[in-house]
Amino acid sequence: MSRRATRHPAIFTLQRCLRTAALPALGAAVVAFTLAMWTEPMVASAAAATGARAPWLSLPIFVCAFSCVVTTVLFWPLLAARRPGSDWLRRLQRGPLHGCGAALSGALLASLLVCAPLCTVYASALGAPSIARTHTLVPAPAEPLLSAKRPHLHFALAAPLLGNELRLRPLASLPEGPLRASRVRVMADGAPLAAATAEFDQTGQIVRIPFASRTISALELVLEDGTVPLFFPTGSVELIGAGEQSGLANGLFLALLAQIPLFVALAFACLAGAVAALPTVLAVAVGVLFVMTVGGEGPLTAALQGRLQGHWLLTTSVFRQCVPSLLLGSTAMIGAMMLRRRSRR
Amino acid sequence: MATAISVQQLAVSFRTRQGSVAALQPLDLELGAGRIVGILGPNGSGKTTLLRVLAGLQTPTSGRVQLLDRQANDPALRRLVAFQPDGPLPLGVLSAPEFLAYVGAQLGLPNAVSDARAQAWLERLELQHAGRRWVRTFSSGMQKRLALAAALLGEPSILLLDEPTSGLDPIGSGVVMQILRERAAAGMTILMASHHLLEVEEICDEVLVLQGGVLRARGTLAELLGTDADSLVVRGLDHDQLQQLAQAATALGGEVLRTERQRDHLFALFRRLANEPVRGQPK
Amino acid sequence: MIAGSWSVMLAAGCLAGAISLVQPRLDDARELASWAARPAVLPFAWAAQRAAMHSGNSDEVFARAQQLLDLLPTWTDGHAVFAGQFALDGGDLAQTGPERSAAAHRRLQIALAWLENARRQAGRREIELLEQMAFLPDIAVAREPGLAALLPAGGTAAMADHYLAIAEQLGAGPVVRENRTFLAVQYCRGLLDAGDRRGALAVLGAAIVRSADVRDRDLATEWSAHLTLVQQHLLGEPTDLSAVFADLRFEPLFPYLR
Repeated sequence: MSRRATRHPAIFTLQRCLRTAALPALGAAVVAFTLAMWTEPMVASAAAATGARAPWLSLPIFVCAFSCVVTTVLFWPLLAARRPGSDWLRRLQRGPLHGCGAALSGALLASLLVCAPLCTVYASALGAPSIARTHTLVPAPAEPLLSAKRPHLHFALAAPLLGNELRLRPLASLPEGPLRASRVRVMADGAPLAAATAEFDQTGQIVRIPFASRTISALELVLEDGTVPLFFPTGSVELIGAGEQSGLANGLFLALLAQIPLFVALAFACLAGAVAALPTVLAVAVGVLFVMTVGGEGPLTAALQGRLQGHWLLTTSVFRQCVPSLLLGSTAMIGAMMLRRRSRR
Repeated sequence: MATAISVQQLAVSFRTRQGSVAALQPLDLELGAGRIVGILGPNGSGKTTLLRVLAGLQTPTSGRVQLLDRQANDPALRRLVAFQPDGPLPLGVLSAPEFLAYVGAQLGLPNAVSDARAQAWLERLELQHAGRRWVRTFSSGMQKRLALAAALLGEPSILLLDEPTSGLDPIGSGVVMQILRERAAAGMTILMASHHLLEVEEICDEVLVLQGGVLRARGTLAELLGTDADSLVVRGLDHDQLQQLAQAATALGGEVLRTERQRDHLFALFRRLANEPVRGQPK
Repeated sequence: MIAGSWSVMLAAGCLAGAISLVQPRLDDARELASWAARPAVLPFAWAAQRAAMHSGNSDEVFARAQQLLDLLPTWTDGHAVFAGQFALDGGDLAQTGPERSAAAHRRLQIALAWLENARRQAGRREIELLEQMAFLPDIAVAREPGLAALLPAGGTAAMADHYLAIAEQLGAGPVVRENRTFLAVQYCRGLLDAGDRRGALAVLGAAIVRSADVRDRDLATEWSAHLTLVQQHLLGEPTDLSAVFADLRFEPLFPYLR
């Protein structure tokens, strides 16, 4: 790092955030790991239920982001209105946000540095698989109801996929006659995918169909017997890719995704700080952060779960989930620029 | 003498829930280079607002402001005009050298130049011993001195100071006054708002008096206070002798304004004590 | 300062007195913490449960349900629903028959063990929970017939009888009592399948006695009479079983009556 760079507000913020966030995040990880072990659920296979440990992974990430938000807002006076010393920075810092963007970058970088080991090493300790696979949700046909009147359902994949497992989780409707579980045969490109049929009689049942790796471009579900109509909306048919991806890379990608709530929270702080004082700005930023981490809005919750379930995160669907949050944060930043320009008048 | 600051029909008003409040009524000013100008006035008279407008931090409601023949919000003035606001410094978790390094970097100074100047100012303002201490743990006097160092780091042509000596001890105040005199002698224009009338009287070439946003008076001390009268201070006479001296003065056509017993100034005592080592501690 | 010290001492004394009077247990503290945390955590626990149902497997859904229901210990219907969903999971189509049955057996055992654990905190709804536990094995066997061979002697009926007996001891109403009486046929069949004729006769004997408590007097008389006929047949006495064969409720026993 050049000597000039070490005098940059982004580096000051990075150093401050690292100092204040690293230890609390580590402490939270220790506490969360202990709680995860203490509250181990009763399941058939703990390895299969690692996704349920997502709250214990989200806790240290939230603590890290919380520390970074509070530190940054307190450190950089221009993130809130009427802070002592802000006149100094308004004269010294160039740019429409007067260094708020640099402070935000420093906080994001610090959080990324803390989150990287959390999302790789700590997630592995929580049971995240060392490999990841792509999970593709097969789009549902126009009328996704499988019943005696309509015993065939066709699913077309956007592009042929090399997979080795299919998961079905339909919604069950009221039986059309005396209750008899519906038996469904699964065909891939015209050939049966498994010798046995899948049986469903209520919502929430999940059937796994492992098969030898093959490329699939179309799926067909055939109702062979039973009186329970089954509804297969998008999300109820999931094809799992055969290719193995690095769990470490998946963790690092999760660490990147974990910065989205922090980015949005600080962007909102920047926006609110143009007119509001410190308590309001802190409340707004922490509120946004809470909603986007613990509250499950935005891509982080699904990404945490995906990491622990071994879902490969570098897919278009995950990116698509990030877009609204990124747009929201960017809009808040643009709004902050406009408000700050106006409030100077 | 070149004009450093030119203000024409400058007015600033703030919108509040109760309506519009005029912080500065239309004001005209021309200040020459190399002068120290004091701004006096009660709280709320518009001193800080005037300084903020000149620093480009406040957009005037109307009027025209030029510093060094440039508009107040010209980016080039960031380095040519320094502003030392009143109140604590920002980024309180940095040390004094870190803070000055940051200021230098933002002013675009080369690192070596910035560091050398920072070191010199820290020594001159007796802050070199603060080491890695956070700025926010400094006393208000230390913060004021560091603020002045930061303001002077870019060697500006115009220095705008808001209460530069509030919170400073008399010696620190004296050091600051001495520095300001030197900078003015070197051609820097200094505009300072202060409530310390004695200091203003001691250092300023010119004084502006604001009240309720209106410029009530402007001029040199001699213009404002009249010609200095010669006076006689005596020591060692008793009451009767003093009466006789007064009668003699009256007989000569003079006027005796008052007679009083005078002690040494507190400042002399302070300076003497500050220079004496405390018992058990090296000075 | 002195007044402050006195206040602290007084408060400490009151606290000590309250603790000695109430004698709180660790469970009380946990319950208190659960009450305090519930409003903040519950919405997120629900969201996580929904997410798991959308993208997780049955183990994960059940694990999430446990996290959710730890906050709602007295919600017995919720316990029953999630335990049932886990026990009746569709499983893995690649598994062979015995593998599927073993997996189903393991899931059933876990679900029942979890419900057993939930009983402690179910309070006055414990009886409802026991009723739901009683019928879970039967539904699981209907879904996975291979499971029946892995259950203890008496099969699903023995398990149901066990839970209903506890419910009765806890003061369950007449419906539970009658259910248990009418369950005797399946229970008997289960014991006969396991070669336990003496056990089957004991079940029949108890059911005949209990028939007196059935509220519908005609039904009670008929049920008791048919049970008596079956009992006599199993004891080796010559019996006319035509009335029993005409009663389809006794169909499970027909193979042992011919």
